[in-house]
Amino acid sequence: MITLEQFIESIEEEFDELEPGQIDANQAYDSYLDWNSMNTLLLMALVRAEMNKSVNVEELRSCKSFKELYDLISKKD
Amino acid sequence: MAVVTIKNVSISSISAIVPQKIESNHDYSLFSKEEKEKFIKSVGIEERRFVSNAQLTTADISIPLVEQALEKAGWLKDEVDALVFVSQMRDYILPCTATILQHKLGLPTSCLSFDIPLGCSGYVYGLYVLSSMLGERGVKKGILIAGDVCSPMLSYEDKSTYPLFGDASSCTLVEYDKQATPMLFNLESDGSGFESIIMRDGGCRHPFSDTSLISKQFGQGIKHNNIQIHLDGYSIFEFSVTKVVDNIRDLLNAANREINSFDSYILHQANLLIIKSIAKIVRADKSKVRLSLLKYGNTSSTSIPLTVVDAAAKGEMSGNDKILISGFGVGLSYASAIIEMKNTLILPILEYEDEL
Repeated sequence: MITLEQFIESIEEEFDELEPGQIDANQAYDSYLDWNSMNTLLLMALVRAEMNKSVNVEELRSCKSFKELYDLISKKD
Repeated sequence: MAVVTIKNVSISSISAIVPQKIESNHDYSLFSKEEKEKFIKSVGIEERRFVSNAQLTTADISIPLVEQALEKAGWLKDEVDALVFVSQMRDYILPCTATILQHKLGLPTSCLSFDIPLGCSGYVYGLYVLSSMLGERGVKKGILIAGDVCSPMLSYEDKSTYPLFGDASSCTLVEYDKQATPMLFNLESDGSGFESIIMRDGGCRHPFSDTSLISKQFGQGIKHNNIQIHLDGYSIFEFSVTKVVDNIRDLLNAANREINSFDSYILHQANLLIIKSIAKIVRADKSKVRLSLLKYGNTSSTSIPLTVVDAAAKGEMSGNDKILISGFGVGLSYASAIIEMKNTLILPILEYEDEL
């Protein structure tokens, strides 16, 4: 399982509009990206590829920050 | 269904056809400049081919393709015992299109023919069904057409479908061959997801009515009517990286094959995100994952043979490759196969000359 820091780094790497070191994991993630369908799918794919876990749209929307999302995914089997 | 083996069947030739007209995602007005760039990079589709005349059907564009395939393989029409037409875009609700094609192609009336109305999994299903009919007696030579001209059923105002799909058809000739290496298939279904990709009206459940043509908004940038294709991208993604991955793993286990024992992997060209995710999870060598979607998009049941033809043209594949193929999507239906080709004739891609 990757660490929260690694998770954030891979998100910053995946999305061209983000700069390395830009994300504060506790900040609302709406402030960093527009969660349109393409970005949502990219994040689902990233979670699957980097953490070998699945996350659905409802779960993504229920979280406010990347930290919250990371914690939710970490609790999954 | 358990993993099944098909013996004594070889693939004689694989060919594919696309319309001439290029529909570029650079020109798609519903995308902003940033969205276009991101879509092309992440989803992996830059352009597709559309018929320029919406009256043209899958059957129409398949005719010159089959004629060419028979000629190049040196098959006589009278030798053809079976014709299977895999398509969701049949000419009529009834009769089936395969019988119309039997006549239009000048195949003998002794040729059995029928449709299989499957989409993205249809090539693997069709290959299995046709191959399983071949034997020492009876069917010796068969034609598998897998195609979908679906552009007339897409809504321009639907970002979740319009920039994805392209029109194409394919022709695969199979014959009884005692020397052939057995093919292995794993075919599965999960109808609980039947609404994930659906054209709601026009069948018997919801016959075409005066409300069928009313366009409705399903989300930001997603507007279509009930005889146009509806797609739930999230559930298809989830299905692809779970059920499809398991399907491939089960096939490999049953065949006692390592994932790295293939020359080429040809996954249904749904979108690049899905292909990359599956390949990564099953640990397929990235350099052997063949891609054709950049130029042709998601071409439904044609995507596997079209990718073979495209990869061969690029020098990435030959007709003697050991391949792992996997088709998955609408149904939900999914199927994978292990095939060791031997002297399979892979023809250059054909362009259908409709009026531009």
